[in-house]
Amino acid sequence: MKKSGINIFLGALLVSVAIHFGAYCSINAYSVWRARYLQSTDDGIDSPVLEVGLVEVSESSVLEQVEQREPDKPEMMKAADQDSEIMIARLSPEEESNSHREPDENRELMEPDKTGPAYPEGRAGISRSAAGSSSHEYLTGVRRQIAEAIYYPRRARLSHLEGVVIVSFLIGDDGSMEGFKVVEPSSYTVFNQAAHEIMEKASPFSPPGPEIIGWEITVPIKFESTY
Amino acid sequence: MKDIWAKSLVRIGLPVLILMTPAVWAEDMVLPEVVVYDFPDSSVASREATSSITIIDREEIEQSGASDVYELISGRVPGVFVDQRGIFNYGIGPGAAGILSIRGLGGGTPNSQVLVLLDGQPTTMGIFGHPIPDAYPLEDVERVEVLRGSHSLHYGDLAMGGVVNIVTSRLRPEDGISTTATAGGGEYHSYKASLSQSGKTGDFSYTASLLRRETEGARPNSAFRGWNANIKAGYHISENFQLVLNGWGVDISVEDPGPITAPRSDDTRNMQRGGAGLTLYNTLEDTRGAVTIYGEGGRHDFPGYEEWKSHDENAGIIAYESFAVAADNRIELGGDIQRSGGHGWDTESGYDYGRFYQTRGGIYIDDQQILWELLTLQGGVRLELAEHTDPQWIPRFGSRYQLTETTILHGQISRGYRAPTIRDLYLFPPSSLELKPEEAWSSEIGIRQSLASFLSFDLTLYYIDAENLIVYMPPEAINTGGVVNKGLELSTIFTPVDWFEMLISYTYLDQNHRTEGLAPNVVNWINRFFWRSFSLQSTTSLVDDLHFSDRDEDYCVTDLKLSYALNELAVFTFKVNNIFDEDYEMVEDYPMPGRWLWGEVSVTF
Repeated sequence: MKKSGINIFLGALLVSVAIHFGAYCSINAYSVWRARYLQSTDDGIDSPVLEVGLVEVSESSVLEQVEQREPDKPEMMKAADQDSEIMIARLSPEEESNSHREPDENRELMEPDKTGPAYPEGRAGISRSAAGSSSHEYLTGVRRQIAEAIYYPRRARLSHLEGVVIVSFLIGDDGSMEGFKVVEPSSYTVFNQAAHEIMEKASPFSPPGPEIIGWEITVPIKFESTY
Repeated sequence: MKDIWAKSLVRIGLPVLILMTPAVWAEDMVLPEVVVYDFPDSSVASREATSSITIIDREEIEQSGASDVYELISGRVPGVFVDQRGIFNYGIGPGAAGILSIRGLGGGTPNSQVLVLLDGQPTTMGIFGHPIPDAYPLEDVERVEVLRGSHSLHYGDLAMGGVVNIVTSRLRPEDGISTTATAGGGEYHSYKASLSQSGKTGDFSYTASLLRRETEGARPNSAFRGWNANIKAGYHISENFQLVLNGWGVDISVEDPGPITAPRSDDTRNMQRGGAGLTLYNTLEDTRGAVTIYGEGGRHDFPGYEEWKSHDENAGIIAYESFAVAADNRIELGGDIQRSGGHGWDTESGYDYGRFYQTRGGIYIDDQQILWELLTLQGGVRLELAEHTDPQWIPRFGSRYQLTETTILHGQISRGYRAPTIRDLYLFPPSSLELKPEEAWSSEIGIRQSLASFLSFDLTLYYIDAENLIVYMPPEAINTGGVVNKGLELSTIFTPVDWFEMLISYTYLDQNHRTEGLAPNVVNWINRFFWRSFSLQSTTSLVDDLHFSDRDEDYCVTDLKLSYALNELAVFTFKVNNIFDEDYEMVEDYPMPGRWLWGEVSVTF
């Protein structure tokens, strides 16, 4: 390789690095600006939303309905219609991304975080509904505690096993986990055991408000091999 | 994405369940899915979806009983073979052990057809282009990632046979300080002591470790004394950016006792090396990547027998960024540049071989598309440029298909590449400025199958056609025709009960011509028994027809390790190496130690 070729290559590499830096700094700056913009205005998106973890539900969703009802009347809650918003709440993040949303938010939903909290605190949209904020924030905290307790069973990792366990539980007055059950087990018992241990490790949660007590909380825990 | 049944469960099963049991589900709050990955921090695993990868994590490292990375991977990863000649060390320079070969490619001495990375940064002797085996102890290693086959698309020069990425201790995620002290001793006046600490306060976190090893060796004049140090510090600049500084150092003095047929008493080799890197990681909504600036330097002094002294350096920049451009499509753009070289002397005659450097690097694009959540297609190309060499295009194509929930098929074809090193171009002679780069086309197909929760296997067939291999034929160095390696790699994991597990790996290598230091058949067999706080492990290596210059060596060696965890803080380990006292050699005429005992205790506080 001649010297001139090396010089051209070095120049191209430097330009490439500069473009990379510029690109992700711009994207970062844009995301920060957008977060501030959404927090400062109610007109950021067509349909105001309340986010729960990586799934968004409309403001009239089940969570808000729960808060607006009398907490000591579970019969009334049982009588609530299984409307479409409930279904939306139960869509997986990938399906949710197909619904009408801002493009950048769609992409965010496509890739759940691999570890740790499901999303950073203070993200746009979280506090858009004052009525729903307390239960929403509480459930966000519950999910964060679960995400911080996750682990992949050693033998499943060795053998590249994968699976999904859907568990449900209630949260008692003091924040303790009650009534844990596996709603849909994985075909590999190692994941069912791990899901139970993850939930045991994640609990106790902080004492819930009355709108949470008596409600069964369901969460799918997916174990996925990286390669 | 790979688990179609799991997705079906969430997508179909859950809504169906909702519709069928409305009275119950009306009271439910459904949180979004929590995803647990087996290796969430591994960028190698996510960018090499269609490759043959083995990742060994800290838990497995502690179970293994191995003392360094080479011992770990040669006993665990099919297709990988490393020779040894003594206790604690491989040595350095001509005649040293620690020749790493992957799928039959390694290059002998110097060992320059494989690439060893420390936290993603090359650790390479600047003049000869080989890794530094004695710089890779396991004390502060979080995981080891082994890529088999040519991977020059991402890693460029030297990654012809494969890549080993050693990831040092993970930075603590939570505030606090943890310290671990280990002390061990064994026969042949062998001692080891290490101290490591990790801490985190606010946005700043660090790990640091220091290791001392000494042995008189099993043969006269085979002593080894060495220090290893590592440090890593991280700082979260913001939610999306993290700065990580890493550094390492090694200072060893090793005696080469010479072949048993002509023992030596005057061959001491000293090496001091160190390296450091600064990496800026970014994790944004749709992109993630890193920019690394690194440097490494070494001083080698071989008084007595070899009469060689050198100073070498290499430094460079690595940058990559991965973009989510569409649903299930990611594009990675990257580039790297490295300048390496050094200065060598003959200490007996005082002859100065001169100071030489070369620059090389490349840019690449790699696209990964997932179709129907079952099929992953990956394709990319790299433009590699190096002094004294024409521009090289290095493509790679791969696919991965999730046939069933328990069956994965994968295949790949890629080009590997190694530019002539400073030694090839300038030194001694034989050397030549007319040398072309070595190259290899590597193709493979494989299947990973879980037969049940307690039995799984991974089978890969490969074919490598290497050309322009550089050989020294005094008075010149030339490119030869090449070599064809084909073979099979099989690893099985059997875990029938909680208290027992068995791991077997088998490697078959068929070469079109005989290569010294390689064996066509290698089996590694690991049995582990667990009872309360005890664990007992047997490790057996069976090697058939290890090629030497005028004969083949067969051997079967078993090590036994007993561990007792007093509590979560203290672990006692007792090990019997070569329990059946097998006479064997891995380097021709360097007999390995017979049965020898080792014990150590590790305390964390």
